[in-house]
Amino acid sequence: MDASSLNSQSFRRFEIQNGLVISETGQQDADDFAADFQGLRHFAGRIGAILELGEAGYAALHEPEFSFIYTLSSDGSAQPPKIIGAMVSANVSYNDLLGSLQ
Amino acid sequence: MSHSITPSLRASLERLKHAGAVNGICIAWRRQILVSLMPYEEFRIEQLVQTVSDSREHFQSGGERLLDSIWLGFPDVHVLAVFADDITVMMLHARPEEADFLTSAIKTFLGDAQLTIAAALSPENHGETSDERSDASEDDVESEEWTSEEPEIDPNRTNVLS
Repeated sequence: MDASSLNSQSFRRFEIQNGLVISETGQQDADDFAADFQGLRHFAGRIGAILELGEAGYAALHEPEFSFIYTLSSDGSAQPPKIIGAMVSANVSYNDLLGSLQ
Repeated sequence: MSHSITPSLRASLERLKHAGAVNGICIAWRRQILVSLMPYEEFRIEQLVQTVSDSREHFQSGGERLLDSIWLGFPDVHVLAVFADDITVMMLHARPEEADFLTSAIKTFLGDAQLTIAAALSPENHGETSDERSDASEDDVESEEWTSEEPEIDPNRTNVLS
């Protein structure tokens, strides 16, 4: 699946600002994204601590008909990192997922 | 017997490790490490297996989701975990553009290595038919039930009745 076909696969983009999920597709999507983001970031943090790898800059998961990704981008200041992410109701490749947020 | 089988699974993982810029690979059954070729101490890999298993259970806890894989991008390396039934393959790799190819390679490996994985899980049964195993087990039941006891030998208490 190429990146151009992401739009036709219920691609939903999210941002987290000041602890709030900003979504254009409704509260339920925002809640679903927040739940997966918190879960995946928690486990990414634990794995990073176990292997002494630091904090994950991005993380994604795949299900047969669902894909999820988030990325953290920091400008080096003391400000919290900018968090953006996406959910797609299809099994989209990791490269396309990552490319869709850049 | 297990020593003659486990290396073949290890050898298969060694080949998979050459699929790309792979730093380490580990295969686990449920929460038990089968083979680890990771550049970390065993206790860290045990913790990794536990945490990856926890993450899978977390996302699947509602019973409606089926996790296929997770991919984590750290500053210098990526962690990829691919799930298939009770088997989990965890991989450390360097190049993000290889994530999808490596995921496919792991799935192919899991399809091809079913026999070696099964042999690693139950090495004592490998090479026997199910009939042979059932016959042998029935014959062995009585002999396994009787266990000899160590004789109490005390030279100072010979022929002493109490």
